[in-house]
Amino acid sequence: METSRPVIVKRVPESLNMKQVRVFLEEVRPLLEHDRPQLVFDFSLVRKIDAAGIDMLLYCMKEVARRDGDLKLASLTPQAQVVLDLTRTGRLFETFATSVDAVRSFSGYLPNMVRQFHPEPELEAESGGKAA
Amino acid sequence: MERFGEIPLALLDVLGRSVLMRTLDRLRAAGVGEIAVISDTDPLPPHPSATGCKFSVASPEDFWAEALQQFRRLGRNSECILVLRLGAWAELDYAAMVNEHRRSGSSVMRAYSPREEALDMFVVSSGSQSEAAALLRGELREQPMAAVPHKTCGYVNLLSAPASLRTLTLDAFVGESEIRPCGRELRPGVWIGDGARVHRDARILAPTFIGSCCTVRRAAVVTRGSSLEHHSEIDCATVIDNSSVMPYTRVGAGLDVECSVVGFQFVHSTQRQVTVEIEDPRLIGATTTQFSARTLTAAGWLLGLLPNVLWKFLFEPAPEAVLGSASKAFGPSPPVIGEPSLAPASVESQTESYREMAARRYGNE
Repeated sequence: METSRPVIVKRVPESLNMKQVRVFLEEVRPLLEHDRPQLVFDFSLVRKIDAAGIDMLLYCMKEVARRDGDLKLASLTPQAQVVLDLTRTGRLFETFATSVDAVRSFSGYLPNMVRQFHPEPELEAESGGKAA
Repeated sequence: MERFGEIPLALLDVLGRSVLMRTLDRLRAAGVGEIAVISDTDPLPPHPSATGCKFSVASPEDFWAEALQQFRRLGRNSECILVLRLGAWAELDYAAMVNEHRRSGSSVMRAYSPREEALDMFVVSSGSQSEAAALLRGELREQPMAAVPHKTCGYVNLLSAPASLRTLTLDAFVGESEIRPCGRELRPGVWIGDGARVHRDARILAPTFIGSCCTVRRAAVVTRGSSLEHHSEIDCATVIDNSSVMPYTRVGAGLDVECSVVGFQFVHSTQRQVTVEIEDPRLIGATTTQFSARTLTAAGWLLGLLPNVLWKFLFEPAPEAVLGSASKAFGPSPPVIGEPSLAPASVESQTESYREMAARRYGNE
């Protein structure tokens, strides 16, 4: 029987450099190991991203895809958007204006019969991620 | 703002020569005798003093006092003085403006664009010391009471933001502006400066300007009115589309620079109207301004390459030996998606995948 799985919103730190990426990856790794993880990365705080940050996003996408899950990006700042465009990674992800929109987009995958019992997916906020 | 990466826009190159240098050329052509330039920033090479003008750098506190001092010095030997703030690129007929100023008998004349925007360009009688002092103390922003307007019908770009550099470049390519690229027109719409190196696998699509001593590496694409200013470097498989790359800038491998002004570790996106600082030199870096340092860097890179080449030559099997293996048939995983080694993928492996990407996008052009 199909059940609703939680959507986890994770707020990305202001600067995605090598040091911050290591910390962030430690926090995110358990979430990536769920069965069919549904993740939203909230970029509303992000001001700087370097190549390590892009590597980390690609790694998370790969891990999520391996487990048949999905990773979406939300609230991209212009700074983040410019770096994602520059590195051609923006086109690999589904992006949304807000975390709420990103979370709602997951419900589109549920069959109609299931959706009437679960109108909104359950939302878990991680490390201060109060997106909903 | 009028600055990009802390450098005034007028000191940045547009198609091989800065707005300041081009303005100096125009002033000389109009018969202006002595020229003094005051800046709050050191210019990038070539230095404006090479054109015979007196160039000085003043701190922001002393800037306008220095300007007044220069005005008084120049006023001793001349009837009237042109005072310009760069600022805007204006194709003003300076000789006509000075003649009109003489005929009008006014002490101050101000230039206006065809759209009637006030330009920071004045002709001041050398005897009008008090008007000149008021004008310079107001940092040329205030409208002098007695200023007579002079409307120009030439091209004007106010250079009010980094995006204006792109507008000026594109206007120059289509011939709306007098600005011409400083280089040889290798084929229609493609200008290349002296000492530029373009890899045979790179694609250059007109109109494009590649400045002197630029390097465009393998599988890079430069297209849609892009300009690469002198000593810039475009790494493997990077696409430069409708963008300007500033002097001494290195753009990393496999990037997609679109509708942007790039340089001095900054990217200004004209579409998103935002300037982003890029601290990672693997994305946007700088090449050194000194010839000796550049030579040493190139030599070091070559020496670093030798052990790798020797190892491959001595110990790795020839490509034919591994072509038939199953692992080769299925192909390796994409190089950009791997364990987060937090180190850049090798240039060779990146190049192949990015090249396919570029070919898909620009295959019919």
